[in-house]
Amino acid sequence: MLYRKLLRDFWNHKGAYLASMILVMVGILVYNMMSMLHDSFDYSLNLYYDEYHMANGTLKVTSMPLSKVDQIIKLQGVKSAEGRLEKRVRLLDEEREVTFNFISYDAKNPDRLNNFQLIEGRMPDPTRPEIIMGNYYFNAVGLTIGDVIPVIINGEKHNLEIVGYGRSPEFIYAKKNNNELISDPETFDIAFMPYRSMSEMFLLENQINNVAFSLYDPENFENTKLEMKDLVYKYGIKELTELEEQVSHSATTQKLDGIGSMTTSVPIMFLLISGTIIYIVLKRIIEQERTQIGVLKACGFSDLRLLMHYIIYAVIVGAVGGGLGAYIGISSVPYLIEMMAVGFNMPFETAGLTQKYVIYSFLLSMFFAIFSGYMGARRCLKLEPADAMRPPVSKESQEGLMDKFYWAFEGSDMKFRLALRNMLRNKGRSLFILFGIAITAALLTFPVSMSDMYGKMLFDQFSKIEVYDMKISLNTYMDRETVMKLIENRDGITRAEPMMVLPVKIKNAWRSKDSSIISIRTDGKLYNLFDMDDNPVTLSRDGLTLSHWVAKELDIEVGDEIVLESPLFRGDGVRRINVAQIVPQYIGTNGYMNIELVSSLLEGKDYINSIMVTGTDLALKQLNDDLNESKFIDTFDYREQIAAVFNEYMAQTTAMVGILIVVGMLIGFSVIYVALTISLSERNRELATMLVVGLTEGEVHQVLLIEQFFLAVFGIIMGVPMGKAMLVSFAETSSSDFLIMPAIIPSNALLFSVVTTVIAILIPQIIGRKKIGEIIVTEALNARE
Amino acid sequence: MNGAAELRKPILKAYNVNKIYDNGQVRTHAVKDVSFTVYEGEFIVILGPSGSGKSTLMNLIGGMDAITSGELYYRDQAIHGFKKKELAKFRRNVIGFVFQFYNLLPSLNCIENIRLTADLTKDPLPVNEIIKKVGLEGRERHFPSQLSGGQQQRVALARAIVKAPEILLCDEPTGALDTETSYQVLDLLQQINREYNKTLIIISHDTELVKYADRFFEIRDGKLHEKVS
Repeated sequence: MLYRKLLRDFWNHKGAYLASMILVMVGILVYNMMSMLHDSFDYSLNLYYDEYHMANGTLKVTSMPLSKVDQIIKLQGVKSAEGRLEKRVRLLDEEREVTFNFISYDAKNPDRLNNFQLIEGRMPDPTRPEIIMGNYYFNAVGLTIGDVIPVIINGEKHNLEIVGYGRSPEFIYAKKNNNELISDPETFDIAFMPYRSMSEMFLLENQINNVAFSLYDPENFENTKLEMKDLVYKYGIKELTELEEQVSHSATTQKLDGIGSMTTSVPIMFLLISGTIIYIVLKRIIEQERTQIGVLKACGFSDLRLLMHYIIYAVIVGAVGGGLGAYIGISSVPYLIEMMAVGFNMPFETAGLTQKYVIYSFLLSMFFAIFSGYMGARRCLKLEPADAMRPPVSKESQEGLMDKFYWAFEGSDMKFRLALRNMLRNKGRSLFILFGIAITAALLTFPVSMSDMYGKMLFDQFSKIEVYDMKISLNTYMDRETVMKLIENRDGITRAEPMMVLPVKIKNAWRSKDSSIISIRTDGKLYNLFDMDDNPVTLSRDGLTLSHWVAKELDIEVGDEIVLESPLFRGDGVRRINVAQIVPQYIGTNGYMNIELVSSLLEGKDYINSIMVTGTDLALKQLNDDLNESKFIDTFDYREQIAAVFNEYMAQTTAMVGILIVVGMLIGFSVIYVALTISLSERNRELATMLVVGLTEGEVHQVLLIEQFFLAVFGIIMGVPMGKAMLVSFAETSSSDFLIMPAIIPSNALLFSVVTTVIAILIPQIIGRKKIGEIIVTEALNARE
Repeated sequence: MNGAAELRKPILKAYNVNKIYDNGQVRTHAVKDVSFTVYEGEFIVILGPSGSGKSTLMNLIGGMDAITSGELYYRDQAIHGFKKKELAKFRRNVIGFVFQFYNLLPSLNCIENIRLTADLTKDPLPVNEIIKKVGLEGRERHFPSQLSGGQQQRVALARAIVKAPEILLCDEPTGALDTETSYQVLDLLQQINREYNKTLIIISHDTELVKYADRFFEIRDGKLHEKVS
């Protein structure tokens, strides 16, 4: 018979249970989605690294004999090493500027380090001009196996046959330039070629410029690094990095950590709110049914039986919400992977994770449901039959906080007093509403902040900072004067400025970071710097200007003397320099320096490796065409194209913004709806009395509105710092060396948060107003207190 | 009929009033062809056992429920034609209610419960005078649950009269009180009726109340009959 009662009670409180169920569902859904995405990412990454022998470190030099690899293998701690060639190659294509990063492999060694995954096709014949094309480019431009592509190598055209396509764990995250967040798959990818054919084609037989190596103990990297440096210093070390610092690996793990940080916090927030709703609803049911409980106990029902009866409500909510959440969450993982893993080129495995997360979801939702159910229902254990059949001691019987300051409210409107007193007397419910609204307001500060953040980053970077039309990157360091003369005097070129990107390790005491220094002219116009207040900054003539992110990471302040280590520095490779300025930088993390100063650090060598150009479209096209086959050109980058790709990547945040709005409003609506229905039900008699003494339905509703308005105001005020804290935490976990999120809440984001929170609060009021109209005054008033 | 009453103006008139509750399965004819006239300042008692329809009749008179057929007038205004807002206005300005179970707002103290209704009207009676009148001096800041049943009913009474209604409707006002307190409340009601010239309609099953009434009616199975005391 109790089951019939259960069903009827469920129906009577359907709104509150449904809201709670939806919140459990969303909590479990997010938990499943984020956890499975994280675990799948982590598991797939490790599997991918193991299967394709990801190296523990990479050495990049200008050029050195292949035979040196044998000496590297003999170094203490080195387990294996593989010499490779890595070269930038441009496609001969009139329509678009396409660059490939060619990497050689040892065709004779099937267990080679940093092996690639052949997705389809066959391995190239080392005696023929055949390549394995990167899968991103292959699919993006619709190539087929057997297609031949013309490329420029050493200033000459070569036709290469694509015999397959694939990818490598070494280039899960690969991009053409540092100022790109993600490369357009139609204009950049990796390609793999046997060492023999590649070295012949590049006229670099028995030469290498890249060594992948693995260590017996990766923890001992620093010792090996010192020995390796001694061994190869004369070949121009460009980079000697361990796996942790490797561009692709660090970007991938940063992304993984960002996902990981959301796996527990977001679901727990939902489950807590849902649990609180279950707790409040059950507590109220127990209060309302105390006489019934007394009668049932008097009839012989045990405490446990009754407790179980009430906990079943919570179990049903948890089971249905959790089940739906698990189902939707798990089934949407593949779509989520597609959305979140944009730019991460690796196979994703979800095998084996589904069962685990079905069990976890069940346990998690049951834990929250049973715990909140027990907390809400435990009062029925304490009720003695005789006590239960007596009316409860009213909590309105004591004077509240407001009564201590009675004078302050003496002249106020009675509706206001009524609302205020109810608010202060039902502290639990008021706190629930307060935190519900605060979380809603906090979440709803995100969408506009995020859009603004990305918008600002995009706008600043490509309309204020980098204002050239085209940037020509060289594949070597060249004399500034020679290069600039060649370009700046051409017809239609309005401005040309040199840039030298200097690879460095920035060191401050025991902290260090691999980075680069962009050196430009102090009076340059094509690459501009701005301070935190968006005022233009003139580059210091004799000091280093540092990105705020690097400065924060290395604990550097203006005036500090830091150490720069670069393979291009003669002697000990080390220079000391003062930090003159710190500027905000959101895309990329590097330092800036006056090009003359860099020249002096290089002992007078006036090197550059990039040229920024503005001019007419015709002049730029002509320049591109004329230099297209030059063996010194690495890439031609058009600012508008980089901005477009960046913009496209940012489009995925639109989905995130939409989800946040729905989630935020859902919480706000659920909390207010539940609080309102509980309030209406508990205060049925009180509201009926108000109606009968002559208050209109609107006036009665005003009492409830005033109460919620107060809580909303405080909730929103609380929500702003909560939103800021959440945004800071989100920005910190989402920022990487390539994209630094500024955690700024602009005023329009606050406005949006306030408006949407108010909407989320107002929607349930429509239901509330209707329910006041449905109060049967005569029934409510004739009921015994 | 009381001769004095005939000189007064009628304040309430009912012609063949019926109230039928129909939930689709059960049809209850709670009030059957009820007709009556009540004059200004009268003290009326309507007696009837449980389920006789007396509370339904009070709800109809008080504008808390709509009649099924017939006509019901307050002076020359047709209550049966009132819309929701007009009914609220009618309750606010014309009627003062006193219930068996007091129906005070638990989160307002004694004086606030009285002021709540005082605030609703343009010319309420002085709150302190009313408090004095009902004998609640010194208990102004007490909350309903800190008061005895009789005291709560006095608050209810004060709340009803403070807005100076023309008609005071009391549904079993002594139903939850002991005998002594009941007499105190009834004395108070009679005092209010006389001093403030309020029309008083009391619905009860207690025949003892008849001695306070100018006229009394009996209601049985929904039918109203005027009785001679």
